[in-house]
Amino acid sequence: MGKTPTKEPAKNPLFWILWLLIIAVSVPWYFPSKTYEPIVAGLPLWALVVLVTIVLYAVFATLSAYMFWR
Amino acid sequence: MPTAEITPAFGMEAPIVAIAFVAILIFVGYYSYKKRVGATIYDFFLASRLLGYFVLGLSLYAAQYSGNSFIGYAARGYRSGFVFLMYPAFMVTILPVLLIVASRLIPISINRKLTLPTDYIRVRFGYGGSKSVIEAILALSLVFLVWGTFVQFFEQAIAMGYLGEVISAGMFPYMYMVVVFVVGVIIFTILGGFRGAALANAVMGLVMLLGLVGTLAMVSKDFGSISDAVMVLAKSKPSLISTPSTTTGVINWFSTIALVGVGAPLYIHILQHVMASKDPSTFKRTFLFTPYFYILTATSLLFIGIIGASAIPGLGTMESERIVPLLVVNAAAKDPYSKVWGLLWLMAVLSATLSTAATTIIAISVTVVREVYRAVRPAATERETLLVSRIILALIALLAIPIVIEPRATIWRWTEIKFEGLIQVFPAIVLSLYIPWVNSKGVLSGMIAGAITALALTLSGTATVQGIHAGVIGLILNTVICLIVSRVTVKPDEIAYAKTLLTS
Repeated sequence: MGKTPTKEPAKNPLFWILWLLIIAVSVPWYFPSKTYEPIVAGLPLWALVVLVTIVLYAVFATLSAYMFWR
Repeated sequence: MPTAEITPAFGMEAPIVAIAFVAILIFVGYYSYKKRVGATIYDFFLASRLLGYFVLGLSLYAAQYSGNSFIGYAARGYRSGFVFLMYPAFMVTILPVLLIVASRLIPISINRKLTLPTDYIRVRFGYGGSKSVIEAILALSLVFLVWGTFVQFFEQAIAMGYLGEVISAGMFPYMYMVVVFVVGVIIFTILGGFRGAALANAVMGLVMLLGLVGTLAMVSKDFGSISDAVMVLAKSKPSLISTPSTTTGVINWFSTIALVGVGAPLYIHILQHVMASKDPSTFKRTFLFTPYFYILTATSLLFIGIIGASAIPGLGTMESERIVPLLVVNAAAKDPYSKVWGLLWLMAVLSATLSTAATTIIAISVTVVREVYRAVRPAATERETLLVSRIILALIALLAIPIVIEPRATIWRWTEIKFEGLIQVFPAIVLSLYIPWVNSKGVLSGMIAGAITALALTLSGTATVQGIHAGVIGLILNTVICLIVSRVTVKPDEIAYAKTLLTS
């Protein structure tokens, strides 16, 4: 591997760990299939959890650009 | 099957607003041309690396969100319900992938004055391997890159066809709208070039966001909120608000994230945006706001589709492609405020569609001119090349018409098909940025294996295997073969050359 003087996201294990973790949580495999209950705040709980994860995913994208890339 | 009723809500104001808006955009493009920004090839296509981060970010956003999203993906939300929450997820996945690509590609592009993905491939594999191997890699990459980008272009024409037909209550048929749109795009791009398109894209990005949020508010007011839709669907069609019904559905969710997340950053026009960045920090700053624009847009469109499923249920697959304009037109017929929002929405979709169409078609024409025409006529002058690129641009745009006159698949299916091929350039462009021992023989063998797999599965009617897309299976095989062949055949001087290039 070439040595680079700059910090790159792809070279940081934390970037990969957080990324895989957030993708894993953003897919609702951990909820039972074919269910929509309970409904919380007008949305099925599973969809709400996925939505919150997606917002965190966006925050991760911004932080990655600033924390892992110099 | 019930058919949707189209209320003629808009009179002449819809075409007047559309024409006036497009005229302003054409002026923005033409203004930049008059200022002689488009005088040389380099200027014409790369805006001389002058784009600031806000314009660059908005332009990238407008290029990623298109008529497909505004028409086709909301329609997929109508058909699939909350399971299509994969949509905001795969859109935001594009960003970390872009980050990985950009953090290496921008410095190399600036140092070596590279402007096109094929420039990078040529430089990266131009040492050590035989000439025929590098030519074959370039030819195959060209096919995938142009294919993916061209489908993205003609999807815009399909979206515009549906839109015009519904908004005009059938007065302007689908086919007529497709032709008007393609001709409009040709004029728009020839007058402005990349800078014109990028500036206009930034304007369009803002209009899109505003129009979209307004549309969600309007649709919620007239047809009930997303929570109301959940209550209705819980009784009438619970599958639309439920978790995926099988393990295959869950696997397909992951596969879709991989397919689009890896594929979308590889469009020629997106790579061109990356390579056009003034410096890494300009590109980095776009991440301050684009992730939120991405998820807000995708989630709003999904919600509009789901509200549509509760308000106008029972549309067939192809008919549901018109769900968003149907909702807007029906809302506009109900009250005058919605009519105003409806006109803003019209400008938003025009923006999304036109910005993507313009950038994709420019990207294709410059690539074809550089890789094909200049190879045949290396002595061509700048002036001649620019003229030929405009002719090619017009020809390629016109080529879309016979394809979309009869849309054989939904916009979403076209999206899958385009990415099945496009992602096969991943090892050539992304792996090769980080692994110095990835060589031309490895990339070529992998690409051939991946392409044959994806193509064979798709042609045999196997879109997915256990939920995994044909293209993703092809890419896995592609990557494994690329790594094995590279490892076995790479020579020390090839590694040394790649290391120097990648870390310069």
